[in-house]
Amino acid sequence: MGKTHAVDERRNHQASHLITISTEERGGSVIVRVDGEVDIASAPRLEAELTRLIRQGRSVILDAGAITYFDMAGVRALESVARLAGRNGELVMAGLSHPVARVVDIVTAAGPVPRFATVEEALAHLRRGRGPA
Amino acid sequence: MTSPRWTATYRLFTRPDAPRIARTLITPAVRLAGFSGDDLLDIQVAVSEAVANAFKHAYGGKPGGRIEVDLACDERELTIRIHDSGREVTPGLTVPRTLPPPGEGGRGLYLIGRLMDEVEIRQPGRRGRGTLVTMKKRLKTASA
Repeated sequence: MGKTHAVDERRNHQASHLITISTEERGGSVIVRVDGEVDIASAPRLEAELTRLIRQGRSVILDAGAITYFDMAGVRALESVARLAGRNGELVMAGLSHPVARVVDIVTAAGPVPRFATVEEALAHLRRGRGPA
Repeated sequence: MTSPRWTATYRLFTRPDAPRIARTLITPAVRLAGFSGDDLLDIQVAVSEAVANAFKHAYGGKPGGRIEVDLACDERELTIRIHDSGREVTPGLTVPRTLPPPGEGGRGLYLIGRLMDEVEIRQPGRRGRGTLVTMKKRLKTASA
């Protein structure tokens, strides 16, 4: 009994350092809000969630305003999802926090996916249709 | 580097959370060295990327590998050495001077090069094994 409890505690402890992903439906799009640190340990979960939505043909806005840490693992995850977009759904990112913008500005020419200053601007873009950003 | 004010060594193991553990462990020491704001963020990202490279490439993502992170601080700069004892994946590895296209690899090293003032890669690293990445960040107040 005590052992099981310890394992659960360890899981909770690890989870508290990963990311929290919450989704919200708005204006025909899905807003995916990520809180926490996106790195090699947490990026696979983000990629899986975004991939699931894109495969459903959804227009997805990644609200990156509450990401406190971001590195190449996050960039690669978004690029990987972006390759599925187009035929399927569409992925854009919005409201980049400073840690996200700093890395994205250095390692991508125009961002791994189209980027917008705010979620509202991203929603307006997606409402106008699925043309290129 | 003049004689250091202090040094610190962290011994990590290859796990997916090793980069997070590394940047979390070094953060108080990096603050103590006199860095904050964007400089602190740059060092956290550079160390995480180097540790992630060791985990993914030198040890092929397998558990049980060791990664050493050394910090040495003097009046002018912080020197960080990251050493693995895994395989040398790309002999003659250097930091790209221009952004490599996606899929070609090297963007993580390019990022480290942009975030730090100096980066050097030595293969083999210490004790004739693995890869040693040495990176430096200068204190802004000291360079004036």
